[in-house]
Amino acid sequence: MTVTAGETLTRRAFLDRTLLLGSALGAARATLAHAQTAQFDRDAAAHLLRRAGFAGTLEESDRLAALGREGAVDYLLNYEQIDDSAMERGLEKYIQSQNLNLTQFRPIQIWWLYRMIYTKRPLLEKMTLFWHGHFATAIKKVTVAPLMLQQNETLRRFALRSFETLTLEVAKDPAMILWLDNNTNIKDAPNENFARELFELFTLGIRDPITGQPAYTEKDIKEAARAFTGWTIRRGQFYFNASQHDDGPKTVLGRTGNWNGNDVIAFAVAERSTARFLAKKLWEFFAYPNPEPTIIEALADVYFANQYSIKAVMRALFLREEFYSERARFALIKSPIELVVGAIRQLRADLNLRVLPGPLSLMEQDLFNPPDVSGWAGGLHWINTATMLVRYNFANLLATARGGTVGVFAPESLLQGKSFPMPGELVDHLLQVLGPLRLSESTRQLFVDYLAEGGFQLNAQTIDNKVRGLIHLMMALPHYQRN
Amino acid sequence: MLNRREFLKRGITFVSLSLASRSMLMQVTPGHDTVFGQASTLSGNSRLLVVIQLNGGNDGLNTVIPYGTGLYYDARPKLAVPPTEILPITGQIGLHPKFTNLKKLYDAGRVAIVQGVGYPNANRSHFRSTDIWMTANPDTIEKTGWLGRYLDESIARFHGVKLPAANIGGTLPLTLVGEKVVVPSIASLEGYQFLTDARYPQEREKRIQLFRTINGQSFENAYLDYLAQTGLGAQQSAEELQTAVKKYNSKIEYPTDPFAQGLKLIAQIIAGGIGTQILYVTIGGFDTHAEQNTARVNHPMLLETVDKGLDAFYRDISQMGVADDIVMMTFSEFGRRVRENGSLGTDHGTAAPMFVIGDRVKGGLHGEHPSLTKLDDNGDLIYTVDFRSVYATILEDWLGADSQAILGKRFEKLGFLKQ
Repeated sequence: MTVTAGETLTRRAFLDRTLLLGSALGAARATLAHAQTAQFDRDAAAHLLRRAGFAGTLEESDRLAALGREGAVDYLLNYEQIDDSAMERGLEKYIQSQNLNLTQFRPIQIWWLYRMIYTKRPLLEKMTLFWHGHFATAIKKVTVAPLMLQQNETLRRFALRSFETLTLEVAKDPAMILWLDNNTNIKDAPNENFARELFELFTLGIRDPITGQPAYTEKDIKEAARAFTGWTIRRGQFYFNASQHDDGPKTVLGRTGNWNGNDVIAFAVAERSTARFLAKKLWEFFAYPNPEPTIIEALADVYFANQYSIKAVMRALFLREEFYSERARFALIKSPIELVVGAIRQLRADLNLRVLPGPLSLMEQDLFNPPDVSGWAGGLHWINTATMLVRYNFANLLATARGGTVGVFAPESLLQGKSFPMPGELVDHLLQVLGPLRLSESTRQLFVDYLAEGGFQLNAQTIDNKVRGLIHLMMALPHYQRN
Repeated sequence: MLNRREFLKRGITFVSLSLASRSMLMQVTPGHDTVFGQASTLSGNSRLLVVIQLNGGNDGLNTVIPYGTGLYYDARPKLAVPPTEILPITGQIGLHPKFTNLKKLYDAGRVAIVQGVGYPNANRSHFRSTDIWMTANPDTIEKTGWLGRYLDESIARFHGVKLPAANIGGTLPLTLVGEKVVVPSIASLEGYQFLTDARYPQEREKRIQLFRTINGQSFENAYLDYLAQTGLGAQQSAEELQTAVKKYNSKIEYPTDPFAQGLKLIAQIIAGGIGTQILYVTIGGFDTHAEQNTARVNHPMLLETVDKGLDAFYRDISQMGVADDIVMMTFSEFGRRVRENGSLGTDHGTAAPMFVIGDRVKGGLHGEHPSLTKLDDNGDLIYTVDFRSVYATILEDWLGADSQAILGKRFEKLGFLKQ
């Protein structure tokens, strides 16, 4: 039988989501790379959408698949060509109607969640999340929510620009200056905190990922710290205090001169170790753990050939065969954000965003409050008995959202325009919507039996009871925790 | 495909709650149940710690009140508690009138008041100072909390215990974050289980069965195996907690507020006898910048909530016969400014008293009350006891742990516990 969307689905949420791949599609279609269309199927597109964004609906995957691999990647990458003003306006309205006080911690989390859930530029938000983990700064020390928001806007604005520009902007970012104590880094008493993390976590890495050699020395840190003396804040903005800046000669990464902070950043980003460190970290975040050296070197080459362009590196990354290989598929563990935002997008749910920060915190991913300067460890570190129970119960919350304070998930919207004569077809469809989730035949059969128990009839009662129940149980699959 | 090293590392370290190995699940089957057997007596070696966080910065000066000095009344012309209402401890120091039950406990020698607790270079940010108290590290950002590190250090003691510690509430405090031991947050007993659609209760068992069947399989993929085993462990340990708390059959009536109900849940978990040692509950609202004595949620009211909740809890554990096994400890991220502000409130300050309560506590005043004449540049109290001395005392003399390993260095111990 065919199902039509029930009245519980809010129109806005539905439209927002279906328009995601709307306007800029025509332009991208014109440059469609026909040669790759065949292998770039719905599953490959869904894979790209999960990694380069926060998953999406089957329709979004299909539309992306139609562009071919290159077309799809360019569509996602050239996000400035996608009109996202509807989300921006929606967010403004939301702030007004919900009285969202953006000087506080939970509200700024909700502000960002709104963007991730409703944006038509998923890669932009995903990159911003990556950089938040990379240049990890936490409100627990910065304490001023507007400064955290300001940093977030900086990360978003420079997300795909030159890595040198991005790093320089971060070095001047007030939240970062407070976080790593650079406001106390003065001529007569240098504070090494920022210089150390700049080398260790933001650019060079402790050891070169290919050679295994130390990428810098303690002396480099000491000298670099002197170059950043006087980089402080005044009235909430970056301020270069020349009187506290050390003007003497410094030797950093083998170069001697009267260097300032921007010189140090220029030297650091020009090192091959930085290119490799960044390439490896990006690959592990977007593709799979422990990449082959050839991949790291190829991405490092792209980095140097394009004036440190992050966009160029990401394009190369998303176009590589290995990115679509079996090894890459479901090789990552969904972060709590990927789980929550992804499920809402896949299911076109219209949840009350205020219910999200609590579970996210218990799943151990508090936006704007990473555990320390190294960010979230990720992978299996997300998984323990406490966080798993929260994952399951979030799945139940979402699957059974029928209005009220939680918001609405309308299962009919997933079944619209399709017919399901057999229970197995409905199970397969839901597994597609949520993934695709590839199950063994026997596991799949368990769902089919559950649905078929007492006779299968796809009516409103079945949808409200069994389809919601299946969504909950499928989201509680170990498979669903993988990305 | 699998990052084997990481997987193994995680697999080995997650001893307590994540139940990485099925053999651990097998241990907790009815009949030869070492865990429940050992802990159900709740005596001898069982020493439990209940941490009570007063969130927002409790006004210590209006809690343990230096009513003997005129300076208190000078600094607080509108907010001071009149001398006639004070519950006197000495001629100088007394308790806020809302602490009637705590005063009785104090008189019975069950309450140690540690005065003037703080740390060097006090930070007046809620976030940062809370972190400092939770990690026991005022100098650097730290990923783990002091009790999380205690649990990690003591992991061998918790062999077979699925719930070594629990937080009551919706956010896990950093205090309980460790590297190895996983501590859950239990917002409500009803919510701490594998929830299913409340509209179709008849489906519940079928769904749980389906979940268990699927996660009980082994998979060809190690990630899936790990996820399934951890998931099954999560569902199962939550279910066992549900079963265990059914042993609780107390008649003590708790107030209906969330704090008292949190303490009741702690009593239920204790009654379950599953070996849980560290329990944590938070009461918020102490950030009293304005109309501190009269606002809708005001400071006296909060103190009354604390007093009544702790009274019910103490009576409950006494009638259960486990009061001897339990020590309670309060803390707040800071006290408040000595001088009241222009809004009938008080701003963020520094040192404040801590309460340590229990039958094994050496009641009385400990440490020195901070001076009201010699204040710091901000007009705040100068601490007299480092908070890590309180932690060290509890770690060493109550939990029997090596405080230096947990706190990074040795701190002078205080004498608020009976030997």
